[in-house]
Amino acid sequence: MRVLMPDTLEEAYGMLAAEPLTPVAGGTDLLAHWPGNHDARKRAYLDLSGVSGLRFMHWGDEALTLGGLTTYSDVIWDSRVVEEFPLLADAGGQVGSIQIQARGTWAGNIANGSPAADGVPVLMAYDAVVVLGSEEGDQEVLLADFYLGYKKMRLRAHQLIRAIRLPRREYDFQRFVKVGARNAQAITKIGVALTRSEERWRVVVNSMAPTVRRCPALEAMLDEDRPVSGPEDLLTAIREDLAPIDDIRSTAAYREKTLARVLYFDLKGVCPSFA
Amino acid sequence: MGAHPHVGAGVLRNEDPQLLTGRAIFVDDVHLAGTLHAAFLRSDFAHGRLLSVDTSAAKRREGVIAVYTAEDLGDYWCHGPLLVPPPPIAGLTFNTATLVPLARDRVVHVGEPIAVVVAESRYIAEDALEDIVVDIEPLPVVVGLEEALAPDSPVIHEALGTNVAAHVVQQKGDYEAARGDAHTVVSRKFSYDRGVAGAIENRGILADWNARNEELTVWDTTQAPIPIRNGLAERLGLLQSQVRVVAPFLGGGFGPKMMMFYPEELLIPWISMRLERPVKWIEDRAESFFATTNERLQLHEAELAVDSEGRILGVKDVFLHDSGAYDPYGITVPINTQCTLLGPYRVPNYYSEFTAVFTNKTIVTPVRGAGRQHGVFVMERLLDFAAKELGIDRVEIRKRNFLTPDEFPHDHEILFQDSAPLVYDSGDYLPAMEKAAEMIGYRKFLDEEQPKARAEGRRLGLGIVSYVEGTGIGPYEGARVSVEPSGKVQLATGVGTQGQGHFTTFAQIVADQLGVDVTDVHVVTGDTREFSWGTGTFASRGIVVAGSACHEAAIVVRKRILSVASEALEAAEDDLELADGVVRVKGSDLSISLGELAVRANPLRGAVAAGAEPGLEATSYFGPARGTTASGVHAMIVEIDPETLEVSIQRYVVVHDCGRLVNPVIVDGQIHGGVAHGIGNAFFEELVYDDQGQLLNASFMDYLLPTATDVPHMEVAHVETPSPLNPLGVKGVGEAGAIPVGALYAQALEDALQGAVEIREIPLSPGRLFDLVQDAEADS
Repeated sequence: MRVLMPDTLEEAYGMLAAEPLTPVAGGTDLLAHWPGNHDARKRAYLDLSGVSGLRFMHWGDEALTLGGLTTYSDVIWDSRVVEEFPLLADAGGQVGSIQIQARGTWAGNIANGSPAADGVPVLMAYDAVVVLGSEEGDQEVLLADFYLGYKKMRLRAHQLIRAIRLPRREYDFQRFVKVGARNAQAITKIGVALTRSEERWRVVVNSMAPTVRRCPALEAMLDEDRPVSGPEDLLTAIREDLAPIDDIRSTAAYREKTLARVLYFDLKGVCPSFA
Repeated sequence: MGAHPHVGAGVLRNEDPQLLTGRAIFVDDVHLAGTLHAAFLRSDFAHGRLLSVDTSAAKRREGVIAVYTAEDLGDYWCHGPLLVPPPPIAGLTFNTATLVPLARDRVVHVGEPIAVVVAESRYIAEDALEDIVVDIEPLPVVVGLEEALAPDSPVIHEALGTNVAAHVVQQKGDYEAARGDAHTVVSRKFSYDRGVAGAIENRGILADWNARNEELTVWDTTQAPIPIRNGLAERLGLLQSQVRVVAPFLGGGFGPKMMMFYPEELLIPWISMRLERPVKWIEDRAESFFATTNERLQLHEAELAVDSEGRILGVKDVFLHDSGAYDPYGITVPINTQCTLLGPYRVPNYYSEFTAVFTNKTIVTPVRGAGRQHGVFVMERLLDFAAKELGIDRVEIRKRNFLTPDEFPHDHEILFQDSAPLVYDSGDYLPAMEKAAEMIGYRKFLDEEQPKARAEGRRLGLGIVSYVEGTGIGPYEGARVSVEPSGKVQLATGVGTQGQGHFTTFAQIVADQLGVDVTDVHVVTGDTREFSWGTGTFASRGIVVAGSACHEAAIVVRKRILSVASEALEAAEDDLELADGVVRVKGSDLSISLGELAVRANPLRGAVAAGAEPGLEATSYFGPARGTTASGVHAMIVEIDPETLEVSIQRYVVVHDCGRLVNPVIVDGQIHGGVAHGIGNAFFEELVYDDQGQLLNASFMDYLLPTATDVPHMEVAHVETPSPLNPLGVKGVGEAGAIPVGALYAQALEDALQGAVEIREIPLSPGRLFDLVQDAEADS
């Protein structure tokens, strides 16, 4: 195993261009899977922790930008973020433990590509844009378009997630619900981030498909105010949008029906079309 | 001394300053110059023929000192001891297969050690594991209990020719006749699974062979240092006096750290002797899931025969028990199930039959509760179903069947795990039930709160269950009490300590006899050099057996103190009193300190009379003929989230009876910890194996222990029915909290779901509840 430790972003880009490297930010996912992951020990790593200028929160007129090394804690403890993007704090506060929140980064959560990532649904529900940097310059990808399949994403070997940009909008509804197997420090069985801005809904679900993803059929139901008289009326759209599986944490049936109940009861007082 | 100022008081713990400031020594805190570090190569297969192990590349790696396989062990390779032979039950079948230090021809569970690397650092040792090339030919795997007994099942231990580890029938009266007389017979199948102990500290061993002194010192995370010392001496061909085993502070024991003679425990000292250097191995968490024993599944088919009033006429229970790959602990776990099922009830006729089976999984040995949970679950569920069928209130059916105080000692006419007859020494169950019902507000909840909540669409349910716990079994423990010239008291016992508060409770017992402050009694446990005789801390026996030995030794020392003081103060012993570290002539200013008396008892000039001993010191032993029976009632109110079927506990009440309380704060702490374990067992923890015997959730990411947010505040009250079997009247409490929680969850959740489902299994989870509800809806 080799670990490269760049000091600057330029140096990091250079190293990435030269050979295949696995970037490490907080290392929280790497560590959790280390004992059983023999391949992981043979790889070479790019430790980003010493790279200056990557851990920031920048407020522009149009957008809030998080740096590639910005941690969950950075966001959770920032009152301005909590006010304007409350779901970031809601979701960030439910990632792992306090220790994980202090080390884990938003960009790492995106790049790890876990379908159960808790940080990704809320970023996606805010229409976040991923800024990929490399020696060739920046490339921007809408987070909702970033994932191609299980652990597959629009991130090329020489690129790093340099920043995450969140457009500043007025939201009249925002909610994040995580259903885990216990009250704290549990991997999500069902997670859903909901936002509504200018009459347009975003419904983003994790742990119920090979990737975190937006749910176009559910969004259309909400955008078009289609009548919903009970949780079961949402099941068709859920099945269209998502593909949950049975695993040791839960079953597909539990995930589908519980998501339907969570959506129905959480939106009942919000959407006039919900009876 | 009539008054006992310390026993019964919730004094602060002597050990806490050390523990809370991080100064307490744990095995991994012991650093010796020149220490080598070991790492184990473990089987990736649950069952297979071990064809070859090539360690040559590992041996060549820089920093690697040695690599050993079974072949390298020579005569040292042999099957480990049968730790607990089964009781002499008529007609018993027992097939023994005990652990081996390293797999030789076969691997029988994932995680079984195959080779050990010793290197200058753990990093190097772990890297070198990857240099070893192992060739295993996979064999068909035995996972399920019923499958293990199928005629075409692969056999794990060929020499035995069967996967049956044990078959035991114990009975009392004539169940079939009782069944014939019954008004109602309730029959059900149950499954009860358990999991890991989840101690915060994994296992660890540091062995140091000193070739000059020819002495072996072993720091070991064991609950039973003396048996480990004895066994190591025998295996290594040393005198017991050449071996010192130290069990310092342990971060939790809970059973799997008993006298197990784990492969690592046998190998690390042997390696230290060969290499003449200290060798350390600290288990990591992932290893622990495979290499440390745990508890698992039992499948029961049980029935309860009652008369029209709900009085128990008889119980029949036939069950399968998962032993895992070996059975070094005999039938301790299933016989605990068999004996604990009877609970606090009058059961005139009982037929209990179990078959323990070998499977290709980690070994099952006692974990806090040690099979008692399984039995309590079956009995409490049967009573719930009978109550429902007969239209009797669930508290009432229990009250009708409780043994009454005049029925003690009560002989159940079967044998317990310690081979002694299962005889309850004392108990008073009705007041505990009434108190628990009152504390939880049983009637008000059922009559007012639950209907009101239901009208609001909330699903609230109440559970209330009883149980007993056999505690404080023999054979014996000892204690040595000595007063030092400083006036402070040294107390040594042989038991190990894993957080039970021994440094305080034992000190309280001695302080009462010697009239000193609890903080002036310095307790030493778990070091075979300090105390050489005894067994260990397990089976809820520390306070009963070692505590009684402390008491006995303190009484002898008290007599010596009075005798020496009588001479010094020229007063009759009857006129003396001990308090505040001095002996005083009653009603006068004349006194002498314990320190001065200690000096007088160890004179530099003159002679110690023939037959007398120097010092204010005594060693005593205590061995109870049989165990003492503790009991309790747990009650809780839960709310089920209708969207997710997540469960939150609104109230949790415990009324417990462990006889006389030595330290109520410590007892409450034991109960809190036990309940937390029970909650984990009931609703969060499950070892999930696939059909190849692979454990799918071997990390705390997916094997969920309850956290502080899942464990509620507990309201704990006590009933004190003293045990007649020991001088202090105490009963054990270490496991109690964990035992009834599965039965409690089942009843409370059923209640919350308004009888829509019948719960016959543990563990549960929101997902499992969801399935049960779906199935019930599909059926109706």
